[in-house]
Amino acid sequence: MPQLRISDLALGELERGVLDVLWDEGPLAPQAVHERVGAPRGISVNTVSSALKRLADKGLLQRDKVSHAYVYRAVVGRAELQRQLIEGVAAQFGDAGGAGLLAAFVDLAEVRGEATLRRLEQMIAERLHEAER
Amino acid sequence: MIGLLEALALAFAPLALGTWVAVALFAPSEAGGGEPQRRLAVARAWLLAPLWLPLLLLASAMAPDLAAAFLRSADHCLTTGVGHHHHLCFLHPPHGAEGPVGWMIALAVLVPVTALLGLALRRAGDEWRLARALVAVSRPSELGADVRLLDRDDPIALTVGWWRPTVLLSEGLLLRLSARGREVVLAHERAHVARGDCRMASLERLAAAILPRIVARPLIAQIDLAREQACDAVAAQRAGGALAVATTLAEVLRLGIQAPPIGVSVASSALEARVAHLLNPAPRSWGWRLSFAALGLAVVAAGMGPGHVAIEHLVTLLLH
Repeated sequence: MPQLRISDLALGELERGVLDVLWDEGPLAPQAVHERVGAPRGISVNTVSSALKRLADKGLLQRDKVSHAYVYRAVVGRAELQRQLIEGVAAQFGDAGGAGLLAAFVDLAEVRGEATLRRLEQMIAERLHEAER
Repeated sequence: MIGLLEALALAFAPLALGTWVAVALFAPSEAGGGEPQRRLAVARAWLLAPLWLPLLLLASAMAPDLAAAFLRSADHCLTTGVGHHHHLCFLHPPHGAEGPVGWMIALAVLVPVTALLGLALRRAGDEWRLARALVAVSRPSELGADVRLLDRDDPIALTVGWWRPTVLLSEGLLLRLSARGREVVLAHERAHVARGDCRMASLERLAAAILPRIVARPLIAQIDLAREQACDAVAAQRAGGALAVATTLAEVLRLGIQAPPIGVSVASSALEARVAHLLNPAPRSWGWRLSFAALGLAVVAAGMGPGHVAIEHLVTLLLH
C-alpha cells in the first residue's frame, strides 16, 4: 500500500464521494462516476474528472486504459485510508505526548504485551475475589 | 493610551518570561495522588501558567484604577502620585516612551511565542482536516448518529472532533468485545464527547507548544491520565460499575495483543494506573478547590497591592 503524504490525506467532499463510489462499485469510467456523484450534486463531468485526476495524483486512484476509454480504480482501500488518517492525526502532536483531537479508549501504542495484561487481570481477579468474600 | 498599552506590553513580557522560567524549573514531572479532577486542575494550572499568571497579575494591577473609575472611590493616582511616567492607570494614562525600546523588549518575548503558537496552530489545523476526513470515510452505525464505524480488524475506539465530536469504533472491536464491554467503551467515549475533551486537549497542545518538551510532556501525560480516569468513572456509573470498566480495559488490551494494533499514540492512558484507580478510587475532597481559590486570591491581592507598584517600577527600570 502506498504511504500517502499528510497533505494528500485531507480530502474534499467531492473527493470522498468519488472514493465512496469506487470502493463500493469497483473500477468506473469518469462518465459513470459523474452519473453517481456529479449529477446528484449538479456538478459537471469536467469537475468530476478533475477530482478523479487529483485523487490519482495523490496516489489514491489508478487510471487504466480499457479498450478506448479510461477507467479509475481505488488503489487504497477504505480500511487502509482510515489507518493512514488515524496515524496522520496522531502524528500531528505525537512529540507533545499524543494527539489532541483524538481520545482513545486504550492507548494502542501502550500495549506492551502479556506481562501488562497479566498484571491487570491479577488486580481485577483479586478485587473480584474480595467482592465474593 | 498608547503609553498605557506600551507599559502593559512591556510589563507582560518579563512577567510571562519569569513565569515560563518558573514553570520550566519547578513544574512537577509526576502527578501527585488524589482524585483525577485535582490532578487535572494542577497540571493544567502549570501548563497554562505563562498565560494566566501574568494576565491575572496585570489585570489585578489595573484594578485600583478601574475601581476608582467605576466605583468613584478615591482616585488611586492621587494617593500614589502621578509623578512618575509609567504608572498603570486608565484615567491618567502614561506617556509613550521616546524611543522604540519598550515595544522592542515586548516583541522580543512575544515574537518567538507567536511563532511557536503559529506552528502549533498549523499542526492543529492539519489535525482537524485529517480528523474530518477520517469521520467522512467511516460508515454510519446503528448505535446512534454520534457513533460511526471503521472497517478495521484491530481494536480501535476513539473520539475525534472539536465542535461535533464523533465516536469511532472499529468493526473488529465490536465483533470481538462482549456486550458489556461495548457498553463500557461507548459510555467512556461518550463521556469524552460530553466533557469536550478533544477541544480541551487541542488547546492544551497549543499551550504546551511554548514550553520545553521535557516539561510539557509529563504535564500532558498527567492531564491525559486524569482525563481518561474521569471518563472511566463516568463509564463505571453508567455501564455496570468499576469492575466492569477494569475488565473491559483488560479485554481490549488482550484484543490489542492478539491483533497487532496500528501505531496510534493518542493518550498516555497508563492502563495500570487506570485500573488501579478504578479498583481503589481516591476519596473526593474539596480541599484542593479551596487551595486553588486561595492561590487565585493571593495573586489578585499581590497584583493590586505590591504588584502594582512593582510593575510600575519594572517598566520604569526597563525604559530608563
